[in-house]
Amino acid sequence: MHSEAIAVHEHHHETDSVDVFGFWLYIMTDCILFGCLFATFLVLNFPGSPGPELKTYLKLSDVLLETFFLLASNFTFCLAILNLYQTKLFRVQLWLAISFLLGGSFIFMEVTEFAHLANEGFRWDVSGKASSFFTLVGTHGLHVSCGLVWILLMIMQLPLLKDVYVARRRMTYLGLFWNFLDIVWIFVFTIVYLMGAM
Amino acid sequence: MHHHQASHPDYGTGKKKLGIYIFGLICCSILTLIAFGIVMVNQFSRWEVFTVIYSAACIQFLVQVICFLRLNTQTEQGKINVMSILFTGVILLSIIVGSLWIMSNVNYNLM
Amino acid sequence: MSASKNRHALRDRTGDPWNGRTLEWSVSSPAPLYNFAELPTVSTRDQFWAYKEAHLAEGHVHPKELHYQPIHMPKNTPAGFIIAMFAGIFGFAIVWHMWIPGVVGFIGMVATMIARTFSTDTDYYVSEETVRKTELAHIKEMISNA
Repeated sequence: MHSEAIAVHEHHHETDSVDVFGFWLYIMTDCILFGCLFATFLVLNFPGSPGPELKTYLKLSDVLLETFFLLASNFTFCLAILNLYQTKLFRVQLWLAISFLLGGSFIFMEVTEFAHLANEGFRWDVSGKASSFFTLVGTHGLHVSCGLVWILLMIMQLPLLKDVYVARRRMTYLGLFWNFLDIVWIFVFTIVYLMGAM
Repeated sequence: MHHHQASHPDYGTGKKKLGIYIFGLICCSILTLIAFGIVMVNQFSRWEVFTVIYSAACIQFLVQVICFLRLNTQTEQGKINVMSILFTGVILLSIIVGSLWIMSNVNYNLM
Repeated sequence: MSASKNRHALRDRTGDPWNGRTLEWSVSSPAPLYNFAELPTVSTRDQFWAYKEAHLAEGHVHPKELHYQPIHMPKNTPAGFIIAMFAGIFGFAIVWHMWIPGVVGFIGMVATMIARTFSTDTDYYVSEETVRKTELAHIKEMISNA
């Protein structure tokens, strides 16, 4: 069968928009996943629930800085996409690298924050409230870390991808993912940190 | 049925423009600063702070979705994307509001 | 006994031994790797039966000459199977707190997934010729057995 196949390099892109929609649907289901984690967090954080308060260990200025790191990395990623459509490959890699650094700073700050919290006694096994905090924010952090690995891979693969449509489609996936993470973070910092600090 | 390769696939996103991204960045920064600011100055009542940070979050969500994700209803695929995000919103609302309602009832009844 | 002795002679070659009503009986048995040469339009539950009744007037079940086109198919890959095997090792290992096999399983999963993303040669087109030959062979069988 294979020997009778048409020339393999003749890639038609009739399924590209459906493929991206498929990824969009995955993002929607990921939203629902985070929604469940938010619901759990809200339920376990009713005022008066037992366990140490996040407020005592919280430094809002750190969270503000983290938020700006993630927002900036979202913006620089959009710049990378812009450059991709103008086929300036080196610029794309440059902006991707900057997104990686900004996202990496976010993760670094978050990990040190978690370590600090655990040291102070606000550990994930100490109360339902703390568990829900670490699960929600930790899951978001895991998503961001996977995104960072993906960005590295993208930087490596972009020069190898001969077909510009494949590059655009893959960058679209990553773009959707990275944007979605920042959107989830808006709700995380509002509901977890800002509400927790009051 | 041979496909014209020159046409760009329709991802349902709007045209990518630097101006819109910068506008989005500035709006998001301002909204973030407003939200953090109102909590950090500690001058306002609980309800005032609630309203401000939740509205800032919702507005920032819309700004991010429209300016960064470039969600729009111009193309067919764009309309499908919007419909799916609205559906996801319905599901999320059910889950979150439902959980809160039921658990607060359980809390009340079992305390 | 005689059924198994004569199984080659008695074998059904049309893919539709019981005069089926639904679409799965409209393809040959075994089905071609692309399944349907043209995506069927389904407007009723027993679509194949509706099709047969429409063509009964012609005297036999005989699909009209379809406009055959190249069919987009994915290439075979062991990646999915390998990821599943590593996932199995990972899942079993972490349940029993066997950290080393767990890490091995996890790294295997992730490495295979990443390696897979480096390959862009993942699809091919079944040529119009092949599709036409397969379909006409099937049609011939159906006619000669009608």
